[in-house]
Amino acid sequence: MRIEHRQAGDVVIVDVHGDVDVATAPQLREKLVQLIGDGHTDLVVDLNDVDFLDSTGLGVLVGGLKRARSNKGSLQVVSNNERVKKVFAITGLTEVFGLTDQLGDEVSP
Amino acid sequence: MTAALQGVVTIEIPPKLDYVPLARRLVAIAATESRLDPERIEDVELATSEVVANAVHAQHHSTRPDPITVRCGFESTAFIVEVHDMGGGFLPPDPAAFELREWPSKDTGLGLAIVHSVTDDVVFEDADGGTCAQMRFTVGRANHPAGAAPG
Repeated sequence: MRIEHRQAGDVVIVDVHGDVDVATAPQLREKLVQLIGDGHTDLVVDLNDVDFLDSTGLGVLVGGLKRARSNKGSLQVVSNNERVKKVFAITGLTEVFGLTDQLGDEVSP
Repeated sequence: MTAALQGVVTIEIPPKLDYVPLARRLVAIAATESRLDPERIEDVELATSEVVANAVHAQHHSTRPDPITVRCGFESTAFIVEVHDMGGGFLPPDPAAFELREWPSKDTGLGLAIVHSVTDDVVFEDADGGTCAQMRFTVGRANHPAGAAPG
């Protein structure tokens, strides 16, 4: 898994590439904790280049959302991958993350 | 719980999380030999990943070095995946473990709910000092719609 981040106005986009699973999710957790700890509390996690997401990866995103909200921020998820979107739907988390297919115009590259 | 299967593939992995992706990918490849739809093969891969990860965690707590055994194959109407660990036996799950808890407590306990949702049946049994989880994916059955658990 590879993770990059970039500033887009008041939001930080976290671009994730590869599988987000029980073996790799700790890297994502570390990145989210670091960004929020550095004061970047409004995050968009872009999963458009992620083909596989498991419950551990999803749990890391939930943890990141909680942490962001506790710092008066937000965490939104973007994915156009039906397989990834299905995991959110099964667990009833689609709306919680405001899951959309693509980045909004205000934060697009 | 060992069922009479055809096209059996058996995989042994060390009880380490780094090997979970290997196990799920091999099982997904084996599933292509069944008559499951491609989307159902994705379900096989997801559920296998969740159950193998649970097995690795269980075995980690027992400190036993035994490998995790993953066995899969097909019957006339289903693809079967069995995951056997030596984690010291299985406590029957609280049925609530299959039910999603209300957010914001959803950062843990999601795995079993996902497995329950994407399989047609899943059974956990004590086996040889450990636990065997058997998952069934019925051939020809439509992919479970996202967000709807099987009835």
